[in-house]
Amino acid sequence: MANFQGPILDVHNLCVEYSTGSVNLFSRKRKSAVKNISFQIQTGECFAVFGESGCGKSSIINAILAFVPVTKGLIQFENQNLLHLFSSVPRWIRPQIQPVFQDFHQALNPRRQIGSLFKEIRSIYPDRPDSAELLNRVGLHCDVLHAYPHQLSGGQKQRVGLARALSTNPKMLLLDEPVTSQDLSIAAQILGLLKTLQKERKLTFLLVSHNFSILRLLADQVAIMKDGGFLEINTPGQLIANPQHDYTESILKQSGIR
Amino acid sequence: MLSVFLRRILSLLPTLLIGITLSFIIIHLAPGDPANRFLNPNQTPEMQSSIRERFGLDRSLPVQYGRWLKNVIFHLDFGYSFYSGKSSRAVIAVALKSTAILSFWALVFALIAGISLGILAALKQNRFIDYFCNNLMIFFLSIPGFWLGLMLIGIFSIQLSWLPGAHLQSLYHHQLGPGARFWDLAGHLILPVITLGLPLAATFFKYIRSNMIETLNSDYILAAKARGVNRSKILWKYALKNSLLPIISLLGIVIPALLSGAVIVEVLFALPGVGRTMVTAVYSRDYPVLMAAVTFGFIAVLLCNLLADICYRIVDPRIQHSPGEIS
Amino acid sequence: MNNLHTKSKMGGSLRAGCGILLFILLFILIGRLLTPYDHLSQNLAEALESPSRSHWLGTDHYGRDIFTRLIYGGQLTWIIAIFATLIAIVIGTLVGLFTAWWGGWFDLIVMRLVDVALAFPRIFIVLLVIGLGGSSIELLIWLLALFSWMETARIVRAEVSTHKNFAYVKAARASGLGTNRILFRHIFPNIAGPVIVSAILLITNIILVESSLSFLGLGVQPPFASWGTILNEGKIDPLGNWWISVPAGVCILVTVAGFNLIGDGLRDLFDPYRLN
Repeated sequence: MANFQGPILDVHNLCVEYSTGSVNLFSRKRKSAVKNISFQIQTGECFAVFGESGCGKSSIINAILAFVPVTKGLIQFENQNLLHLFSSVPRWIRPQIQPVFQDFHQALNPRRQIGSLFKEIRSIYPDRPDSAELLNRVGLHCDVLHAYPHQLSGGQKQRVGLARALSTNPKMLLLDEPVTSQDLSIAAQILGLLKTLQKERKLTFLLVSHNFSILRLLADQVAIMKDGGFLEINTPGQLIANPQHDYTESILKQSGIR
Repeated sequence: MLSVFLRRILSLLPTLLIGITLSFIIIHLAPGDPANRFLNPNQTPEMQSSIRERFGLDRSLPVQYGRWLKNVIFHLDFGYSFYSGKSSRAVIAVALKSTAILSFWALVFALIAGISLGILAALKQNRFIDYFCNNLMIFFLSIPGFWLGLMLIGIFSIQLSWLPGAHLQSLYHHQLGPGARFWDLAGHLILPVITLGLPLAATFFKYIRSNMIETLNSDYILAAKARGVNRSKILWKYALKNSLLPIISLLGIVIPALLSGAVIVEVLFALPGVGRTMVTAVYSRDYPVLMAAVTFGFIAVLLCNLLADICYRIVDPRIQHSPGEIS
Repeated sequence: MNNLHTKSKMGGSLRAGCGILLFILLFILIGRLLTPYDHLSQNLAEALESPSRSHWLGTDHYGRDIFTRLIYGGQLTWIIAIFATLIAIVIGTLVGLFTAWWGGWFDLIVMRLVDVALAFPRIFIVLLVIGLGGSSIELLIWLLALFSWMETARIVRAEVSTHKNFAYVKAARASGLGTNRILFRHIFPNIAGPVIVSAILLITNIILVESSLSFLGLGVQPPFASWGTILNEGKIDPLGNWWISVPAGVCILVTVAGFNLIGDGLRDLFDPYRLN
């Protein structure tokens, strides 16, 4: 599939609903998180979703990884349908799409050494790169392999998370608020790292954040999301120059861009 | 609100049915034949089968079950005791009264003792009285209830002859005047209520103490203190209210345990309650009485659970009526 | 300052509990070296003797040495309690793990069954099964276990539902690790604390239920004895023949108290948020 043409990820009319508790076996209350959104991402591109917390942007990532059942819609990765029976991503596609989570609560298992993480992945995919090499690539010393997560700083954890995601040789990374919890200088370093990795490995990014200034640095396309739906999709430059919605404008003002 | 209650009651029915059915199956599949109780060695197999026929034991299990359930639902008829010939419903209704009296006073005793000591310990946290109460409660939580009862009987009934150690009333109870009857009942109840109530009091104590400490150290109490709100007002108005709420939900868990404990206490003190009736019925294989006892026991527990739930909703309006129900 | 004080007290209850249990374990494991008697052989000539130099804790109605019977009774009590607790914890953990993981209908139905099981006075069913069907130690263990796993299942389910949404679990799922591997190697070590605490509380409960069943004559059957059975044998004259029932009662009390102390200590150890 090296010479694959067309959009690497094609999301069509995606709807996600959660059941919020249940009164009994027969009636359930449902809450809509994602309403009818569509977008395409080209290989090597960075597609960003902007939205305030609770707008449903993380649900997009969860839907792609089949962590939440999709109510309606289509998700295709390299023209293969991801929404199979039992809502589980086909095994051969799994390693190709990897998430990187915000270093907030428990992004790494607190009871396991960093090294065991990589060992485990290599036990499933033996042909994948060596852990020391990966750690070097993200700018960490291989001493980290014997550390537990609580011994690492926030920035180090973020890099470990990135190395973990790279360890399956993915084509696409799903970045959920990748740099919000660090201070600015570390955020800049991680963003720089993401940029070089993207070029080096021809990675495709789906980036989700509530920080427009960060999105702007990486994204080729930005979707503005509100209450589960997309308001507009455009390049960051176009958005800044010519916002179509009042909401977009107010965001830009808040971020100090306009 | 009303629809919530109705729905809750409806949702209890399957629960009840599962429990009753399970008990019916266990009772009727168990080895041993009630008909054998009436036999002497000279009787013939024909006589045995005629006894079985009279009790309806010759039918298949589903037929027996269907018949029993039909009678219960439409006529509230639990059948007649194999042993005494009395209506099982009447037998259990009488027994239920004793159990209810015992459980109710044990609960009251446990609540008063547990809550007051819990508050005391929380206020004097890490002082002598706190350690003392804590260790005392671990003692009551760890002591086997029946042994505690046994020792109480030994000391107060046998050795000192202060209190009666058996039955719920004296033989001459009905010849007494109303006031004397009350004291007669109270005297008989003291030891069983203490035996049943003490472990429960320990449970409440632990709960109240840790809740109270948590509340007293919470931000809003500290803020109120800083604002100079009067100490006793903080205690009674804020802290106590928030610490007592969880007790209501604890009641739902405690009540099945209370009934289990009541079985032991009733046997030990020879009280004519449901537990003792059940134990006797088990040994005499008195199926109708057994089924009636089990059914009423289940209903009692479920209703108490429901009651605790309703109280909790009334007291704490924050509880919505959806998400928490299953978990 | 206040905090330091409480911390040291917590460590204290943990240590006291361990000490007590160690002492009891030593007593029931190597105690038999101290006694020349057999726990079953009767000697009616020496029936109901009060404690003396030859019988440290006296003899029962059949002239059996109480001290020896306490040692063997303790072994039986502990074996029943430990096995029943282990089975209950395994069932509870598995049910909790998989209901939380799979969710949906499976979860709803299983948790409703758990509600059913929790609402019932356990002793009713045990009374029915053993009273009608007869008792054996294996049956006793299974019955105790089958009516004790629900609390653990609830605790585990709640914990797993939380951990399921943590990023480390999502990352593990995304990298293609199997369900069993994620549940047992990743999530379980993180929730082991609450499981251990619930196991400790469970074992106290099971010891008390077993001894009350034996006391009712429904548990361990004579001539074999658990501590509850010995108590039952002494109930005819609890003060006159105090040496039969009092030591057995003290043994149960001390063992359960030991576990309770450990449970309290562990809970505060695993859950430091509760203290401030």
